[in-house]
Amino acid sequence: MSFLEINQWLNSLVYGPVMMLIFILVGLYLSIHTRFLQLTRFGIILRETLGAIRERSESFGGTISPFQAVMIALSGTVGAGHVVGMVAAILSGGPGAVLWMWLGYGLGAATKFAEATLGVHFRRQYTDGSISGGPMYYIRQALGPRWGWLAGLFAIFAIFSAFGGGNLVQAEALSGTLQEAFKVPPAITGLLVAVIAGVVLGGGIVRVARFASVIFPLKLLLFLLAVLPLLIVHAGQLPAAFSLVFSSALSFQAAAGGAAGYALVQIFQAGMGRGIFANEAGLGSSAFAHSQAQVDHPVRQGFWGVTEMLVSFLVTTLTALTFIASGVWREFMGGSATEAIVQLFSAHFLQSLVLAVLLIVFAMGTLITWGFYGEEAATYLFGEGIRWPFRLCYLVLAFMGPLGGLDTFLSVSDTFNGLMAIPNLLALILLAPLVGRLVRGFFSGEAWAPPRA
Amino acid sequence: MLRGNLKEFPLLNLLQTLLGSKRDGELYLEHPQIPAQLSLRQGRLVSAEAGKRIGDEALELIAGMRYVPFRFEDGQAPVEENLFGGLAVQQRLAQLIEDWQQLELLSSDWSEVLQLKPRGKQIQLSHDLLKLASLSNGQSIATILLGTGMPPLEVARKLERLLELGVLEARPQVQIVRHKLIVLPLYGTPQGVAFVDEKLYREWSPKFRAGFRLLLQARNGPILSFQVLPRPNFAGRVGLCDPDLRRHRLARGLEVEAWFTPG
Repeated sequence: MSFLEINQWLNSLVYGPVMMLIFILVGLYLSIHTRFLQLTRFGIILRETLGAIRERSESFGGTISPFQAVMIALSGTVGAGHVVGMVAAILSGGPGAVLWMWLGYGLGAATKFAEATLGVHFRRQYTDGSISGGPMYYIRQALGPRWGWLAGLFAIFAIFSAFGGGNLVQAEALSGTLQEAFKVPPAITGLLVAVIAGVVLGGGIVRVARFASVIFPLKLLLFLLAVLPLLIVHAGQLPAAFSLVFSSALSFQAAAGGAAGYALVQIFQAGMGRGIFANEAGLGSSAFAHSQAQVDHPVRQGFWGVTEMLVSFLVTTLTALTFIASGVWREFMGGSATEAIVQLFSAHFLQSLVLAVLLIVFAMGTLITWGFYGEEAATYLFGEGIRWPFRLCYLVLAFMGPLGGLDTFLSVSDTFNGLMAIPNLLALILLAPLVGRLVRGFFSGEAWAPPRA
Repeated sequence: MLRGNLKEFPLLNLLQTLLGSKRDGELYLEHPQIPAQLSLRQGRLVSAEAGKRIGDEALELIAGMRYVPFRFEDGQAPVEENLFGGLAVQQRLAQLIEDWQQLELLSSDWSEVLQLKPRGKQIQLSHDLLKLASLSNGQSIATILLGTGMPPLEVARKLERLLELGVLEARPQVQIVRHKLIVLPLYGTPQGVAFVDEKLYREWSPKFRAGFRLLLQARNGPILSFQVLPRPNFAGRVGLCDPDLRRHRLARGLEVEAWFTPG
């Protein structure tokens, strides 16, 4: 078995149906321990997060506010996968995939809540006020010193994911879009991306937070500018699109065209794949961001994790409904997502220009955020001295991404991205009772006492 | 120039030193409420002034001063004397200091405010004590020591008696500092209790020996009073339970002015 074949096998395993089932079961297990907090306390969660938006710049005395932390997380999570990936999911699983995606979001919300909560609970805070956090700390805590190496393995996976999916893929997408829409040469794009990333990442967590607090609202604004006009154009077909989502969730026979239809496994896999991997719940990535927030109780930051899922859910759902209502999916069933999306945006008054700008901003936000995640993971392994060497490597790759030719590395990093879930989910299962205790403590007025280092 | 604090260098020792070196000059006692000065000639006390009191009455007041910064400036001895008796003045001062030290209830912090204490049982007071008690209500100890017209030590003894009987109580005079805090809901905490950051709590609690409360006021809103408790990681916030927020029409994220008050 060659290296590439092993990678291919691992890739199909970590993104396959068995792994998806594990994601769902972990989400369910955490939901039981938190008494389905994402549903039963939904009102409080909204009040604590979106209702607290005017406190966005008010931290509890630390470096970044809870709102800024979620902006970083969302800036990394909401990317091209929410648009192009969603369209691809419908093309490979039909409209019914959306219902499974919703289920994935519903249970994934508990997973994300647990990640954000544990991220804050187990982070390290130093005397100068700086914080080191991320899933590595709670993985180590959950598995104990004997299995502590798994935390290190998670950090390695995270570093490779940052270099690959977080950096090269985004830089390549940026370059492709800029070249197609504005005829910008890839080398120029690479240079620009590297400079911007260098300036932002060089400023540490505070500058990353400021950047994310600008880029994510811009992402949302652009997304609404892109999708709302299409939604209005196809408003008449929305009820039919909704009904199609429900009626074709278990099986779907294509009414016309060459595709024979979708079997349940195919629909489930396509929908659940989006419901899990688009929002990164279970991968542990956003715990890097949430753990940086200065907050009085980890559960309060956990609420932001649920809201992060809600925003991601709204973005994917709006994309899906627009796409289904447009009817474009029928023409491209089983075909290319990129061509389908270009066709979808041909009905937009700005045509594919809005899509190009949207994808550029999405990619840039993700690139910066993953740079920070990778840096935190590297710091866990090698200490504070690694920050600048890591940044320099990251910038070199950001420059090289648009030039292409790193397919094998990309393929391996994609596998590593999926592998992040294994130690993370294992830790979440073991720490689920603690998450439950923290929730009960929060709602009975207990103050939070961080565990001893 | 000699500088120090009576806390480290008691007045009698200081005067003994100055007497030994036969110094001429002024000893300034920088008491925050009653600035005082003693004049020395050849190390002997020849005049005293404390607030508006001079002579032996000033000496009585000075004898009761503790923890006061002082400075001695060499210079010409004053022409006018108001303390007589030579070395006997020093002995009188020693006796006065001893008398003051016997007053255990009267605080050495004369900025503390005296207040009539509400109480259940009736007490019979002499006319003098009754008059002093009513005069003292709401006044600082320094004001009463200076302003009754009676010798300060006699006033101090009467105040001690009133404190002993529980007619009066002395509370530290705390300058009101309004903090801008943001309202944050807490779940499962008792009603009527406000939580503030433990650092803020620690800063204020020593200033109120007999307990304190937190007053809150939103813009143009009524002043609300809460029992106050500390909470970690709560900088810039005041935590209230949900029912309190609803009852007082306070919303999360609202900026309120908060200050501490005895109670």
